[in-house]
Amino acid sequence: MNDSRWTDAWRLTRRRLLDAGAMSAGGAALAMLLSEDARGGEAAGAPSTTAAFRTPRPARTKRVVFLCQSGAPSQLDLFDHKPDLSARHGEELPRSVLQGERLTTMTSEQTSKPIVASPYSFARHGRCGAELSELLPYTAGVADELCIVRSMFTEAINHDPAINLLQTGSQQPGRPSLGAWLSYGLGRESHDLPTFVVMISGGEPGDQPLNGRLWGPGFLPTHHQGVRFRSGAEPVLYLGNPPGVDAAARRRMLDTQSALDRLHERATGDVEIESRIAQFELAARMQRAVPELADLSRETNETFALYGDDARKPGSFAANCLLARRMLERGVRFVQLYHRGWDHHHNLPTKLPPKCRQTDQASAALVADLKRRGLLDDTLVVWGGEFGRTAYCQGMLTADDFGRDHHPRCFSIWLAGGGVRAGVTVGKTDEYSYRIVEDPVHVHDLQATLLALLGIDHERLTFRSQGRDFRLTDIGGVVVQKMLA
Amino acid sequence: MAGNARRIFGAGGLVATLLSVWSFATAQERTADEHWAYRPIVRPRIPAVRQVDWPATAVDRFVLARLEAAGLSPAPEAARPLLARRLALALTGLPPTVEDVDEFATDEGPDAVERWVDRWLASPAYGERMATPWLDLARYADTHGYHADTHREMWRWRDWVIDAFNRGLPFDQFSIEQLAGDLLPAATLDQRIATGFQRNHMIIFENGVIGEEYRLEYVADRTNTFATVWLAQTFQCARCHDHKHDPFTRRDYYRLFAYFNNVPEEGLDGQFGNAAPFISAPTRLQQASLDQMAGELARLDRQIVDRLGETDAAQSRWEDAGRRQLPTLVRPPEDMVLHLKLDESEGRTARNSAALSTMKGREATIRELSIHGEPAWLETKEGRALLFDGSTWIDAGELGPLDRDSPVSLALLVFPTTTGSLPLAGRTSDDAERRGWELSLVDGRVQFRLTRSSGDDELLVRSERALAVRRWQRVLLVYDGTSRAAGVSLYVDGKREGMQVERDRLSQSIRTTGPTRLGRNVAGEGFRGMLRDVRAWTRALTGPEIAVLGGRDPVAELLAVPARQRTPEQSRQLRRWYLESQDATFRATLARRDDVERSLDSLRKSLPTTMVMQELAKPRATYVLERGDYRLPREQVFAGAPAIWRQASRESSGETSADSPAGRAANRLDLARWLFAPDQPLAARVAANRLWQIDFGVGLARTSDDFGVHGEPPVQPELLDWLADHLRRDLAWDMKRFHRLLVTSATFRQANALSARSGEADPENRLWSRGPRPRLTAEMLRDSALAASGLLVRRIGGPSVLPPQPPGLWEEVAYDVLSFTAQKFQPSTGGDVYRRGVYTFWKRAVPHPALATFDVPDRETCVVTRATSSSPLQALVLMNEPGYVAAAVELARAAAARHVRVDERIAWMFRAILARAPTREELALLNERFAAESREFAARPEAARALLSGGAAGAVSRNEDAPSLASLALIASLVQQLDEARVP
Repeated sequence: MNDSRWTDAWRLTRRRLLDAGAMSAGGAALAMLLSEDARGGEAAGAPSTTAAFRTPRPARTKRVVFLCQSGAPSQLDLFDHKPDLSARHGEELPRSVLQGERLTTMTSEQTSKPIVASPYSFARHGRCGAELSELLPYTAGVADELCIVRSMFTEAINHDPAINLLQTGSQQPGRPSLGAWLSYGLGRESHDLPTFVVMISGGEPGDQPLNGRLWGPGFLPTHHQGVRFRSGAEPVLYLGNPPGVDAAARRRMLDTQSALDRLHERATGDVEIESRIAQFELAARMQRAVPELADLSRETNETFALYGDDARKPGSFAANCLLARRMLERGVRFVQLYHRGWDHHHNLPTKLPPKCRQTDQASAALVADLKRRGLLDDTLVVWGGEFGRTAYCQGMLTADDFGRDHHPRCFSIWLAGGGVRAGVTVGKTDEYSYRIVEDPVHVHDLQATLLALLGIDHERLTFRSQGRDFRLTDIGGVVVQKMLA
Repeated sequence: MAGNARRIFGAGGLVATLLSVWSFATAQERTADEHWAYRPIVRPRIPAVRQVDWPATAVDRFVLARLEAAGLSPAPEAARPLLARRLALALTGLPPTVEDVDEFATDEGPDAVERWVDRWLASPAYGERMATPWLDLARYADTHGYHADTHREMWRWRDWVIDAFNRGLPFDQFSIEQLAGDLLPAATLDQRIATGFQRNHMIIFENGVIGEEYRLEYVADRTNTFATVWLAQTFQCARCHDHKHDPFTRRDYYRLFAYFNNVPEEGLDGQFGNAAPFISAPTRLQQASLDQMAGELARLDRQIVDRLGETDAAQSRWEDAGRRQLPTLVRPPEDMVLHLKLDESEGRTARNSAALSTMKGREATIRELSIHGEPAWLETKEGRALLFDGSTWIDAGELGPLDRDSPVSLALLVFPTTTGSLPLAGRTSDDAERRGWELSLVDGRVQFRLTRSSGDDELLVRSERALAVRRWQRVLLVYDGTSRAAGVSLYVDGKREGMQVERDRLSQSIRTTGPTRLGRNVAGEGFRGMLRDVRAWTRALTGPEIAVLGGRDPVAELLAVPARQRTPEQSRQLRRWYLESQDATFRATLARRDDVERSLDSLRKSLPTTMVMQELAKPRATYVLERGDYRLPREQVFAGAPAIWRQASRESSGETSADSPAGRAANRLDLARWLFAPDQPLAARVAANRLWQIDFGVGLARTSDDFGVHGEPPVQPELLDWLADHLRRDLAWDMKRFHRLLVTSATFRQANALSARSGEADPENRLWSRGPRPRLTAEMLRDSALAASGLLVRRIGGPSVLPPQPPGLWEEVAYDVLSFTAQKFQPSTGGDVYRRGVYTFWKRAVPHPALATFDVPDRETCVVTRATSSSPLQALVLMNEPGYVAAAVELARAAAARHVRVDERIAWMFRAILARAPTREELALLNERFAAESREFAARPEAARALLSGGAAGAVSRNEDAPSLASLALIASLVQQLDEARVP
């Protein structure tokens, strides 16, 4: 380190800045940014400055993996058993149920809204007796680890606003994503890997699109955004050196570069240069750490058997689940998976079962794998989509075909691990799985609960932008005690 | 204090409620005099200073007075090379060339800085540099943002901005044209293009969305953006409730909202490019071609008309001969977009034998269309045909973007076997609206509909007579694109049929997605009977063409009419047939005319369009919305300025009041003029502060997007007020002269290194005790690397370009790669790979990673100040992104071409990037690195060649010394990665 007097002077003023900053609005964030910069990613764990965001209760979980099922899986065919509907299959859904509330324009004018009973059988599983569809045999196998929430609800009736709400707390764009908030609130844990990683699987033509804003930083500093991790030779963009440049050459280059940068630091007195030098060092470490992380060849056959054959296919949901476990082991705080293609307006009987086959085994395997490695205690797994699907049929109901429209008023998700109550089913819906009759959980409530499990008070985790202190949970959110262990 | 309040608010509970009630009550009672930003601007006196030889401008006197009061003195002037780089980057976003730096460094004239500043201000790069922060404010992008994030075309607006900066359009006019250019008297095309500022918001077309919910989002976006850009007020906070701390009520919000709520737009739009309203916006060059071609067409048409008006004896002889021996002069029109003969007699596909229309003319290509269901082919007396059993249908794909304003003709031979409701052809949405078009039989009667919304916004006509069952009939439908029932005509076996009008109130686009279906509708009903010889044209057929298709001979019919009994129209028609068949010169003129028309047509189709603002003829009512919810309208409000300023303007002349123009509703033009009225202090303060931010990196008031009570007040309010007043009064809003004032100031020219004294007393440089030290933006960083290496292509304007990026980034999040635009990434080639960053295609869902990694905003909403962050991903881009690698290789080549000695080459590259020469110590380190890398590459020449292959040329030329050049490229890359390259 250089010891020039300019640098000392700057350090001194920085400390004063920090003191002053702590007194003003957004001061905690400012202080954290400065310390993050100064540490250049060196320090591990939550810095003391994030104390401003903390709950009185200690954190129950350290990291999160969110298995987002984009397109919205049908709760009626997977989690929310309505045996009485069989007798009424094909009958009109009573108008009294609809209560004149808004529907999407895809079915709002559809005159006939026949009830569709799920063609799939349900059974009770585990000691807890959770009821699950035959389409989820592996999930059923870890039923005792799950906290199934049947009473999720949202206001959005279409994909774009609904997945925005789920991932950023707002139907309209412009807000930081869940992972970006966590990065901002918790800081970095890994020395060599990003804090927030995103992986995408699925994606046939016509599957609901995704958008970078779902893992974007919004108005938070850009380094909080999710880093897309992709299958293939270069999991992180521009990770590989140019042709002809090997790791040794890169090392030599960086040594000369930092020597020159330090000369410049001495000349200008700008101590932030030190933090930017550190970013290059971090990049070089990522160049080593990421290929090691992405290399599944050391995983045992037994592990592949656990996650299923798909796990050998790069870019599949199963392979991403396995990668997620490796990331969580290595200190990535938030792994966001997206699996696309759950939007079953038509042909649900032919489209839903393959989707379940793509996800069921690997999702359950991830829970089991984390458990046997002792990681499940402080890792939270979340599985779910942006809303539910209707009890009535969209389009024509035939002997072997039906579809379901978007349904915001109730849907099901599950959570496991990290401080979540295992082996429970929270919430109850009416006989049509149309309305919640017990324990409604708004998307903001889920977000508040996730933050609480991480030891963050969702009302204190704020960032000022354009004159307003914003929160992930906007002006809502209540921690759901029934979901906590 | 604010921090405590925040915590108490955050903690919830009774205290927060009480506090918010208190804050609510007082915020709206504040008057314009209580808060610094709302007070009228009174020009401050330029202060006296002790160090009289330092100030170069009035700005410096304010700065120095404050420094002296704090016991500080200014920093010395920056060294010329560093100053050259600072000035060139501030004014053009590009680094100065080595030659420029040399010249500037040795220019000893007393006004050297001023002269060089003028040079950079006159460079077209100035407009490109100034456009970037404006595009951030305007949330400019090349895609719609929501959901599938498809392509939109707004580069004409972007180029308008660049051009406006370059031609020095004053800020008031610049603003007025963007806010209300369409409402200016005799608005020019450019002024209408300018209004695209307000159409850059995101737009959705996701199926199922309730349009009104999103339309109101667009209006809110315009309102919020207006308030942020011109007033620096957080107006959006008053959308759901009265503003918590600034003096704006919810009513004020919706009064402002009303100005922007009067656009003929749809909530759901943008699926096929631009969303209405948009206009064709030819460039000047294109307009010149259009004029030239239109002139040529008119000349040829005159020739043809003249020729048609003549008479001659030869024609009489021809007519006499024609009566005995009929020539086949009129042929069935060949320019079909669909032609299914349905004479295959076997198989599951039908051949579409219509020739494809291309730029070069028409190309005969046969495309196979799949037949769904179980096709049965029959031999009939009329020829082969396809039997439809109710489940058979043909997917005819895309016939073209048919809409209510596109004429179309459909012909088919029909043999119905029942009298039920039978779909023939159509393309409609799969929902209750049944949006689209459809031709069908209803109880045997031929029905045609163009539908926006079934039963409501729709054109629906039905023939008076029913078709016969079990008989072949030739049905021909012609629609002229007028959206009126009168524009539909039907012919059965060549005879015009009477039509019954069921509905005639189509007013909006009928575009939809999905296939064009033959023989089945989306409800699953199928045609029963036989079809053959199905044809479609995307134009209305003419009378003679209709006759021929109906099996008649129009020439014979006309010749049969005695000459004296012919109408003038008939005479002209006959003469035309005569000339076409007998006169080669006439035929050549016709052919030439068709050529010109085709070129004109294809140019017209290729013209860029751009979204603009327009006013509805009948104003839309605006209501206060409870909680901002579109379903909860409350009291009606009318456009007007917020109450706090309404009072102020009523006291003044009244002429510029935004809300009370005599005898009519207030509009955007009133608002724009109110903004620049002498008694409105915010526009000038906000603009002066933001222009300062562009040059200095941070505003005098740091929260340049929030001049409300929660914003940070300016550290030097007198300086801001003096600048604001100077900008509007002395400079008449001239932005170039304003920048000139700022960057020629001694304040701007100070060295920016931290001294112990200024670091201690002015840690954040809020007093400007040293020079500015802004980071290069993402665009500047890339542009600089390309410019230094000579790769940068300096073409100004045009459609956005797509520099290569790793494959799959778009496709992995795409909706449907085949059906929608901007889903599949197709990189630009040639010079477009190396254009300035301002031209990079901005896909909102996936911005280009080489830019996105360096803190570019998401362009979803208005952003005034970009974030600055440091991350390892940025390091990876600088080290490995192919654009940066190519720049390094080409910089090395340029150095090798200029200098022979290695240290000279290295020093030249260093100066090309950083402007200054390396110190001896720096040069020694780089020389040492070069020597070591040369040895490495000499041992592995294939590695050297591999690195060099990343250059623009690709392969290495034979006479290049690969190991030496590759080592030099590594040094170039290293210098490009230095901190100083990013923070000058």
